[in-house]
Order: sequence, then structure tokens, then C-alpha cells
Amino acid sequence: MKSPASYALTAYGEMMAPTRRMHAYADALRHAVRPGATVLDIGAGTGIFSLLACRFGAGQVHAVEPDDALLLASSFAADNGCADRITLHQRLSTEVNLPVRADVVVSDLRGILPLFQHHIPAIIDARERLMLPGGVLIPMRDTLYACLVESPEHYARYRVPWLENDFGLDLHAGHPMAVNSWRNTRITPAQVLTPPQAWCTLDYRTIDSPDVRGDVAWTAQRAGVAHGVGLWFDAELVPGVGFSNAPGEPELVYGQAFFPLQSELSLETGDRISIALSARLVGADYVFSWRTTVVGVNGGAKARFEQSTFLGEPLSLARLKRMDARFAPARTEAIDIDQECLAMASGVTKLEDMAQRLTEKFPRRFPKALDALAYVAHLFEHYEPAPAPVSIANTPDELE
Amino acid sequence: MNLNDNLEIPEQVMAREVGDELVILDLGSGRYFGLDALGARWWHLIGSGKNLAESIDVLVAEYEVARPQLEADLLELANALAAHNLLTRKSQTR
Repeated sequence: MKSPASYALTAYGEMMAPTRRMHAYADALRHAVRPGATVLDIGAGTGIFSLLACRFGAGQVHAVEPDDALLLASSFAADNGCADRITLHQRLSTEVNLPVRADVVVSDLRGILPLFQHHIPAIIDARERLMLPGGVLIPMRDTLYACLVESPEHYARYRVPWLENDFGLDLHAGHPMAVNSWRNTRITPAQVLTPPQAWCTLDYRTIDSPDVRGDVAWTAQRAGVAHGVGLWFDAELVPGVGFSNAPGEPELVYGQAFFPLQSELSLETGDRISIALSARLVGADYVFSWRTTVVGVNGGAKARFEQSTFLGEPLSLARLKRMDARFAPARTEAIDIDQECLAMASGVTKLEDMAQRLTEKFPRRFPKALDALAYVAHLFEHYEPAPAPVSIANTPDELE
Repeated sequence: MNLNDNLEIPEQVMAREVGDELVILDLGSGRYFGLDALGARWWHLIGSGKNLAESIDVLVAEYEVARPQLEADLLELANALAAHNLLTRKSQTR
């Protein structure tokens, strides 16, 4: 079964579709890969960039991907005559060591925005540890742009159902969280209220921190109602080769991000709007904060909003307290169950025998042996070591 | 730290109320901290620009608490928060 964090195969298919993104990546690889080059493909998915790198003359390709999608890369490599040049590493790139450093590192670990989970730390790690000095990083640079968005349609999703719903229910407690959450969207050129401004540039050749902060500001050129801030990125894969996600450009897999304003903002021509926007990687995810200040043409303050995704989700105090260094966990049945299972792990006792033991010892928790079997299988999946690198040419299938 | 210090909450420190308590997140370290209801009220007073002495004036009026004890407790709390970079003296900031 797919975990929610994994891409479905159809999503991999969409990413491989012949869009400007794929053509740009192919062009970049064609420019960067010299005959015999070693290429590292991070977040390889089903290995499309690895296959292209082989087609453009790579001597050795390391395809790194923790998801089972990588298993398809093995078939693709054989079907495309490059099985002898691709080595599969089913793990995170930060866990990989290479026999020789790569001449080219290609990746697309972005989400809607490049500020996504551990994208930037993974690139920094690969650049410093796995790439030859002076090697080629694809992408080379992403630039993030911001504009004010006028779109009652987008904003309605922050009012409904919290402030308005068909059932007469009072759901307003959810509204403060909703307006501190951003969402993936499609912004049309007609919804762009202020001209795009560059918010930040992520130059992967030199970047040394996943955190970003910067200011954008506009003087309103026309009256209108601002509902939020739109963000997107333009990519430069190698010099002169890239693609844009700006409103009006053909749709790619990324889309644009919409950060709502705390409340609708009526602007008059000449109003000065400034937004301090920051993104900090905390744990596995980014905390985005956006502080909006509006000064009217007469110099008076019109609005000041402080928003953050830190305020955008219900926060469980009980869960936080369980993560406190001073928290002393109590003995529970769940701990007894896991301890029972772990004590049986010796390379001899089979999962079905463990499951049987669980049904006998914890009959209320596991009334059926199948429930216990599913539990122990899931438990030990967590402890399985990542598979060793696989050179596709040496798999039994290939030797037959 | 003393009672006349003007205090400031660094930009990388965020806070939100959860029930009666205040959860503080240091974006720099990714660590969470908690304050009880009185601590939460004090945090908001500091955030609004009051110094320690001024914040104590407000709290003494609002809560049934002896001033000497409150001064000692809040000085200790302020020093503890400062040790975790959750609070700075204004003179320390750029």
C-alpha cells in the first residue's frame, strides 16, 4: 500500500510528461553530460533523468530514490539499453556514498516551491560530498517571485466553511488557522494585482542554508482588493535553459502558492504595500511567515498583519509535552507489545509465529491472527536496512 | 538582567496560545517551549514593549500575587528565556 508521502505512479507519469519542464531538463542534461561522465540523479523516481543522462553519453549513473518507484527504473534501464551504466540506490541521497564523485548532479526535489522539506539540505550535502569540485548542478538556480493577488474566488476558500456555511454552524474558531495556511493554486494573469517582484534567489552552487527571508514592496498602480500573496519560482537549470511557473505560463506540475491576507485589503492608487516574508526549515517542514504593512497615500497606516503557518494548524499541547526532554514515558500495553516482538527478533522466529504469540498474550488488542501479522510486519519494516546499491546489469534477471 | 531592562522578542521566535498556555517556537533551533497562563500574559506585555518593571506593575494589579515574589520569579524566567535566546535585552540587538 502507498503511504501518503509517496507519489502515486500516475504522479510520476505526470512529471515525465513532455512539458517544458521535461524538455528543459533534457536540454540541460544534453548540455552538461560529457562522454563518459558520472551523473548523480537525486530523487530519481522512475529514473527518467538517469535514462536521458545515459542517452547523452554518461559512463556511469547513480539513481538515488527511497521510494519503490525506483524498481521501475530497473525495467526502463534494461529496455533502453543502459542497464550496464545505471546503479540504483534505494535510500536517501544523504545516506549514499559514491565510489567516485559525480561530474553532474541532477535533481528535482521541489514541491510547489523549492522551499520544500529537505530539498536544500540534500542539495548542499550532495554538492559538498558527492560532486566533483566544479561539477554541474542541475538546477543551477531558482528565483522566487511574489505579487499581490486579487481573487475573491481564492479567498472564498478561507471564508467557507469557517465564516459561512449552509448549515448554520459556528465554525469561526477554524478561521484564524485557515488564514495562516497557504495552498497550491493556479493564478491567472487577470488576478495579478501588482507586478511580480523577485523575493529571493536560491543559487544551489553556493547556497549554505535552507532558510530564506526577504522583503517585497509595491506602490499600488490601480485601485483594487488584495486577497493574498502569490508565490512561484522560475528555474534556471543550466545557463540559458529553464522554465517559468509565472501566472499565464503553460501549467507545469508545480503551480503557484497562495498565501492569504488576514482580511481583504482595499487598495487605492498610491498605497504602499510591503511584505516581509520568511521561510525557515523546522524539523521536516518549512514555517512560512508573512508580515504585511500598508501605508496610505496620506502616510497613515492602513493595515498591519502578522501571519505564519505556525498559527495555521491545530497544535496539541499534550503531544508537545510528550516530546519534552523532561517527559518520562509511562509503561503501556503498546510498549509491552513492541518489546515482546523485538525480543523475538533473532533471524529465526517468523512473523507468523510472532503474530501467534501476540494473539495469545494480547487477545484484546489482537483478536485475529491476521491483525497481529499486519502489526508485526509493519513494525519490522521500520527496522529493515536500506537495500544495498544494485547495479542493474548484475541482477539475476540480467544474467539469465 | 534587571527590572529596568527593555526586552525584545527576537524575530525567529514565534508564540501562540493553546488553551490557557503559550507555546513558544524558536525557529532557529526548532525547539518548543511552554508558559503557563500568567507567563503567557507576561509574554504579551513584553511583546507590547513594556519592560520588566512595567510588566510587573500590570501583573500585580491583575493577579493576587506578592510583588517581591513576582519580581524574583519573572527575573528568573526572563534569564531562563534569554539563556535559550528566546528573549534579548534591547541594547543587545543590532
